[in-house]
Amino acid sequence: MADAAAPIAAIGFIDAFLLALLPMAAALLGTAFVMLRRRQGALEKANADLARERERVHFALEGASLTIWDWDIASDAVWLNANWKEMLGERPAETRTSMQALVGLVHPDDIGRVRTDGLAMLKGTAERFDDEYRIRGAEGSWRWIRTRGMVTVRGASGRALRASGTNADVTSRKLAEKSLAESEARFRALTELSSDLYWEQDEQFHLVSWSAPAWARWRNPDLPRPALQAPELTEADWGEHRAVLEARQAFRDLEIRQVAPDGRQSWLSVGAVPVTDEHGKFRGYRGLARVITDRKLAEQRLRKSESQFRQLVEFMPAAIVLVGQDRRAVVHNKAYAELLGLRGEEIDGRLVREVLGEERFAVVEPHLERALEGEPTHYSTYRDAPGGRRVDLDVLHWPLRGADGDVEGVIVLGMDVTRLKEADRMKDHFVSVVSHELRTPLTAMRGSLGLLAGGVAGELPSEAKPLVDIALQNSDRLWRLVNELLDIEKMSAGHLDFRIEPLDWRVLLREAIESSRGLMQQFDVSFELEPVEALRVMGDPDRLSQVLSNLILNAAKFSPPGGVVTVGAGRLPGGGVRTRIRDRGPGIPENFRGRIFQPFSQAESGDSRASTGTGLGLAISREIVQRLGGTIGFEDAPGGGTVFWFDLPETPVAQ
Amino acid sequence: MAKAPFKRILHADDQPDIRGIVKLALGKIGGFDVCSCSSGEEALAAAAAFAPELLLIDMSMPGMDGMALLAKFREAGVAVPAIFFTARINPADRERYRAAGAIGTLPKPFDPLKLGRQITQIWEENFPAKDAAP
Repeated sequence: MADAAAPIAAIGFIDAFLLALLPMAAALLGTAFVMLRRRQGALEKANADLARERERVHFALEGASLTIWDWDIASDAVWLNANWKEMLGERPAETRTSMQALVGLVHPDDIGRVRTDGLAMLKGTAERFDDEYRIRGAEGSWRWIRTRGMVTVRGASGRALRASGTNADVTSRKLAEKSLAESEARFRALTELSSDLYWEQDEQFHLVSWSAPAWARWRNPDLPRPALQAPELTEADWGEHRAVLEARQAFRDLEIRQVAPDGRQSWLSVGAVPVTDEHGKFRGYRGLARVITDRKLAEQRLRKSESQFRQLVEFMPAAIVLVGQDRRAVVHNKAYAELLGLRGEEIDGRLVREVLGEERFAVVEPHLERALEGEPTHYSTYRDAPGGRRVDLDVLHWPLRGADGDVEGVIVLGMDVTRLKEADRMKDHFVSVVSHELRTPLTAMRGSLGLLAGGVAGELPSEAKPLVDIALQNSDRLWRLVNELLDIEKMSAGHLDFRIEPLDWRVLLREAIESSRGLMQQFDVSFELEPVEALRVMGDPDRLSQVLSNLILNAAKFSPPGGVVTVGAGRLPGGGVRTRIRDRGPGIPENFRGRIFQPFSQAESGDSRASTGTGLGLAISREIVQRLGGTIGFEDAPGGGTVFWFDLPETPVAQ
Repeated sequence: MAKAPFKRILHADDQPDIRGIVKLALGKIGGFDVCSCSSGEEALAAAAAFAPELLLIDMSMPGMDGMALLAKFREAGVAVPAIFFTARINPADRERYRAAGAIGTLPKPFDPLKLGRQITQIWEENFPAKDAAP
């Protein structure tokens, strides 16, 4: 029975119950052994006691899920009690085997360690053997076993003769540990990868733990350190948050602003849940904090920019409204509300049709629809503003495009041009009145001079004749000037009217040259009409005569003394009639070409007779030609001089 | 100058200068008989005795303007052709004057040496056949 005490002494790992129980059992067994030797007579009783005690030990081991092993090293005989088989998933049975066979069942990954530790125990370099390893059980499954033991008998030379110990099945603990380790690894990976800062506080709200990488990012020297313990909140926000903390409630999206000593601001968005221990006692908070500085700064910039633009738009002296694809007003400015005499809530979100009323909307709708299709439109209109004032408006509809280029709405811009229009009307009126008032005296002057020159008062003295001619030429010039001013006024007012009819172009050219004969003597030039085929042109005879005489006058003015002005006309290959007036002058200065058709523009010229015009002739001529569906232009003539030309649509010659 | 198919012209204009020039231009140079009147009333009063063959009427006169005077002439049974003198000519006005019964319009200012030829030309365009005048 000596072998019963040794394994008991070897047992190190066992719960409190067994530790208390086993030494007691050992003592009892020892007593029984002594009694057997001393008192043969008490043998039977002792045997019965022993059996009872063996039964107790057996139940104790069973209850503790422990297997006892005993190894006779010299013969390599291992004895294991019945629940060893049970541990391996087999029927319980006492086992007699060899250490070699047992080691053969150990998982290949663990076997090296088991051998090393076993040898250390045998040699005595380690006092005890204590390993956890996998061993093959029933149906090839791996069981985790913890084996503890020690050499219990050594020979005189110190050689290990016998070793004993226990085996415990630790499979479920190992699996639980593994799953915990995996879960922790997952958690660690998440917190380390996350931009969010994971943290824990104790019940005094002191930070006790945090995820290092996010913390390191947060502690980037460029960023101020978070102050989770003392969040900078407004009094009201802090009061509210403190109530949450005191009630041990979860919170989320708590925004904390912090200002660094250098004035730089940073923001955190924090959420947390309370932590309680197994007794339900509050142990602190754990949660996440996210740096939202970039977002907050972007929001601030956006708000600022939005506010700037809103003020800019609000105080613009033009009426502005933004209309969406649904034809509703999205946003408008003060001038728009004032123009319509409406309040803001009567505009935003409502259909433009309702805001303007049917009658006004009928004017606006075609422009709005075109702009919604992507085409900017511009028109002039007026409306009767509150107070009975008539407001002239220039209205621009501009398509508003989204990031993808689609039209999302229309910006409507109405500019009050009442004062401009008024000034324009006054100017036109002034020009009209002045021109008409000039005509009466001019008619009398021109008439008198014409009569004198015509010899009504008899032959003029030779000294008087050139003087009367000068007066006559200048009154003609004044006459032309007045006519051209009136034309310009009509042009700008859009009142230049036309009488369109088919014209025999040869006749008109001949007449134009005929009526310009006075210029031949005045400018010392001659006129030449190239042979022209029969051509019919659609146009206004008076206006086209005006164009021709303007161009002939220009050609005469810029011709050198004795120069020839050539007039010609012919069909264009692509249809239409081109009329050409060519001079032999010095050509048009390069810097004047771009504005030659602008009103009141004249080339600077040293030649005094050239600067006798109004600077309106070409502007009027262009307007007339364009209004008749034609084009006008000029080019350098081969061999010197300039050709002015204009093209007009041709009408088939009537049969 | 070709001989005109008419001789007696009644001219109405409130401007004495213009009346003088027209009288010289059409009388001394053009060879017509010209009766100059300073207003519509004067012209209406003179018409019976003068028996004009052509009326030359300034459009803008104070009181009775050219259009009104022509209407009065027609009411009074004076049916002879009329030409308006005007400083303002545009196609719309031209059509309006024609609708009112004028055979033509002459612009102001005018060239006195050409005036006789111009009115003769207007007459001939309207009445191409000889002796077609009413």
